[in-house]
Amino acid sequence: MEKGRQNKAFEKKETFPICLRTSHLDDSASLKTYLDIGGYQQIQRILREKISPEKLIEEIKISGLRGRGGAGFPTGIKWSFIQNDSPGTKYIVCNSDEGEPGTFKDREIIKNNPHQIIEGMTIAAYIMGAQVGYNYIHGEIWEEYESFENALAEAKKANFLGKSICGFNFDFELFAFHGYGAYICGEETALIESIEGKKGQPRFKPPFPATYGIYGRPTNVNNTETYASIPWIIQNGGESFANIGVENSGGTKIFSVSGHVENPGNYEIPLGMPFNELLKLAGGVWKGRTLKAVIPGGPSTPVLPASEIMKTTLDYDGLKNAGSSVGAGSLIVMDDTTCMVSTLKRLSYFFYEESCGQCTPCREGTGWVYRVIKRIVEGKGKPEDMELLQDVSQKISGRTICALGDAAAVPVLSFIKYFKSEFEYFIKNGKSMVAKTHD
Amino acid sequence: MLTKITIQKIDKELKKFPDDQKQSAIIAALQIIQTENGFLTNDLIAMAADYLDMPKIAAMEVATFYNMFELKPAGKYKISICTNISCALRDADDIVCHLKKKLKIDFNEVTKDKKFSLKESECMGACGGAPLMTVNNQKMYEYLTPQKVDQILEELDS
Amino acid sequence: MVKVWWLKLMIKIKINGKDLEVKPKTSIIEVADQVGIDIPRFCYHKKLSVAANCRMCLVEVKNFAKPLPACATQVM
Repeated sequence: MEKGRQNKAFEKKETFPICLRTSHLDDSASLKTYLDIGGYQQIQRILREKISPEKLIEEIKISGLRGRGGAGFPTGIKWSFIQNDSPGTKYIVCNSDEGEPGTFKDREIIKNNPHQIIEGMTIAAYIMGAQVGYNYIHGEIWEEYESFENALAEAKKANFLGKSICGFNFDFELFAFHGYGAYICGEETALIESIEGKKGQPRFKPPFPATYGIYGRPTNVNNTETYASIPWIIQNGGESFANIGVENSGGTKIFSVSGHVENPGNYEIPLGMPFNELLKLAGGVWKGRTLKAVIPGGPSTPVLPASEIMKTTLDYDGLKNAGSSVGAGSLIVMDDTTCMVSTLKRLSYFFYEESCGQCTPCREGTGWVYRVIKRIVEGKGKPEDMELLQDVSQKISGRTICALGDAAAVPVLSFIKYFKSEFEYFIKNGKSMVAKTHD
Repeated sequence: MLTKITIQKIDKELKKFPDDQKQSAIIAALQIIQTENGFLTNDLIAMAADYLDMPKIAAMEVATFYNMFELKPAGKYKISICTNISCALRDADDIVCHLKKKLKIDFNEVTKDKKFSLKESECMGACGGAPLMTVNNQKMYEYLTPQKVDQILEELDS
Repeated sequence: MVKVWWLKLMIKIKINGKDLEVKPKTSIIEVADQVGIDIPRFCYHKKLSVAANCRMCLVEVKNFAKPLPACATQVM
């Protein structure tokens, strides 16, 4: 890695493309482009030198790579759960369901760098002794799904997938699977149920997918960005990746910046970058307005007011200490014309709509919360509604089969925590405290 | 009856799964059928179930669970527009008003000439291009303005 | 002699501070029903498979962060 780029990483003022390193190139998604930048060299080297799965897992552990889909579980540890030599069919699944509002990073990786995902998944299959893989892509993006199918065909034709990959004794079949509109299928067991051709209703954990996954077989599920980070780590070493970031937050993370900024888009930055540096990269708050609030990692993470987020660094510990979390990196910026009550109404509708309906607290609770906030927005709020919203949300949290229930409670509790006066004003006066609403 | 092309497409999907797991292809099968027919009828869902050797009720569960399936007649062009937070912050609600006014229909309704129908969608994972919409679950249009919407409707209508 | 052998297989647990000896592989809700401790439930019935989705039977278990469904959790 050249000294200049290394310094930039340490300064944490610029992007550091790893997953998005082909985005600026013509014909970015083609096999030729990927080969030109050194693609598929890592899987060939692994197969040629017969590098042991243990050694590869060690490198990934050192890198500090954590699940980039939102849970942030250390990838190196996760990949040690499925034993390479355990018998029978095993599956590698890429979770490209990307349903968290404000997230659009995986779409860009699929669109501009599909082969890096493929190589990452192939390396995973080699480590875990898996034979088949699926990339579960959410239904709303059609062109990107088709282009990934093309990339798969290219890779198979060039013998980077299928039987005897690169002429070595290693087979791996990879397919694309298209969802069709269900946020809950971003939950790994619901995703597995969906691949089995059923409703995406989450299973109980334990057993975890590593023990009982697709068709009951051991399955590893990881996010698109997680797999796409692997080839670079194998090429440059875990330590190089770790050094780009900060302690407990190795490497880069793509932040999907949306909302009230001049230049919404995907920014792959070194973890640990101060928030105000990312805001600068995204062109600052739009129309010369003032920052009011930011949701750092998607609506499943607590909102932070401007005063808090402006002094925070974007990494797992930094955001945790500020009272929020990296989540999926879906950074939603809100300016001072935003009515927090109306925004919460829309978010609570989302969770109500997307609840799979399996368990009572989520199915009934999300609807209840939405109806109360709707009532407030219609000018019929009551003073006791504040306590009711918090009470219902707290009774959903921790009592559901999956994390969607926990996620649904987060915006309610965090919005009320930081913007209580707006809710009280709306209840008292029947209208928003803010000039323009987003109702 | 399922058309020959439909069956060919479903067979292509079936190759992705083990022989004894044909049910895995149900989402793809229903999506292929919907793309051809515009929407799913009970008969079509039953045909898909029979072709995949699965209980009809299981196919019905799938058809009613996933948001993008249409169980009632849709317009020739089904417009799905996202109103979730990142699009709402970039004035998607103005685009919604514009569409409703222009087409003279509300969400889940079809225009009299059956050309257009409108659907409210959740996040489609392309928020950098907000506000945005898709037509027939396939073509996505980003960075919408009322003028661009008019242009798109005109192109589709011609 | 049979009685002693049987006792060795039992597990000692505490529910609401009350000491109990129970057979392994029993669910908490079954144990509660046997000893007369009331755990409300909507979707559990001994003749039906366990659904654990009404969440009425959630109980606090030592060393576990979240409450667990009594119908779906074995005493070990």
